[in-house]
Amino acid sequence: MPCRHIQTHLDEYLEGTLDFIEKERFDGHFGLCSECRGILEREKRLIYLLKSSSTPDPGESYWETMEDLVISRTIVSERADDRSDVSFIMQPVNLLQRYLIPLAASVILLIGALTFSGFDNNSVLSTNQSSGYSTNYAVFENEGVGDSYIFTAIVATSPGSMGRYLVFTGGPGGAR
Amino acid sequence: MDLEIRDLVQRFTEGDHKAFAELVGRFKKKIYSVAYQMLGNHLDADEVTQEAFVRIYHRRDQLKNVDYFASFLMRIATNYAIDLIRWRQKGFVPIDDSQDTPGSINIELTDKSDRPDQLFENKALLERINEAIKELPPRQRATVILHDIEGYSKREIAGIMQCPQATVRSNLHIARTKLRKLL
Repeated sequence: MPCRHIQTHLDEYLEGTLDFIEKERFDGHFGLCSECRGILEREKRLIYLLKSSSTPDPGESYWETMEDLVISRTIVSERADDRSDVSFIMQPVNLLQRYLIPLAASVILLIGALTFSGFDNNSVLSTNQSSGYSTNYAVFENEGVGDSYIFTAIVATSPGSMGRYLVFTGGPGGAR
Repeated sequence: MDLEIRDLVQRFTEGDHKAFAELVGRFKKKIYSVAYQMLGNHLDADEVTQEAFVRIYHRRDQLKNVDYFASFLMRIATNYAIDLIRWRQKGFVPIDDSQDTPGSINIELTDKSDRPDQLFENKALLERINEAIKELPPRQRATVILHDIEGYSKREIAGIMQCPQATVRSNLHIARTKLRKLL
């Protein structure tokens, strides 16, 4: 019987799962082969040492704290799950927060810009159609101060929908 | 699995919080012990233990058969420990809190009966073996710990690690061959 076979099936020999004839062969081999016998002894010692390996107990106070933490974590996450379950109720509010409030703020800013810059009725310069988006540029020149300030309001309108974004840019004269 | 635990698991799967708390109490030391053996420090073992229970709580609906609770829990813990090992191997500094384990370390979790002189004699060798275990690839490490330290059968380990028994046998053989070189 080759040593390789013995060493591969050493675990089965030690666990006693080999049949009688096979076990006799193994015993016979160990009687003759000092290398395999040495491996068998070291394997037994290794298993013995591993079985004697121990885990330090972190103490009763740790166990109590750990249990409390696990329970509280599951409760917290369950409440979070409950909140996510009713999230569909919040959707109209989210829509309002997401679109209407920024739109209202943009309108207020636009009015503010017109008020402080002196709106010229003939200031709409161009309308640009590109990439399926229509962009209206309105340039307002501030005539009330020495330097000319230009406020550009860009209303980017996605195809098939009302204005979703209202972006203002502004700066010293000439900047657009 | 004894009837009391089966009943607890059944109640747990139905959403009973008290049954879950009771199961945490019953299995915490086993999970912590495996995690500690695999990771070698208290902080990581604590993280794995907590995470295993939190995860099984959220996945309780996946537990089709109450008899598989223990192996399902151990699978979650082992997989998480393997992930942590791989994460640490990618360059994160391992935590060494051997002097920082809370509470008394005189009491041992695993029920091992050895003569004090033998323990003393083998202490240095065990330390070397434990260091060598940390060098093993994660799945070999898990296999040798579950089999040789925690006493799981190959069949149970195959269930925990979701692999054929032949793979368990092979991992165990390779791991032991590497560790044997220290003796």
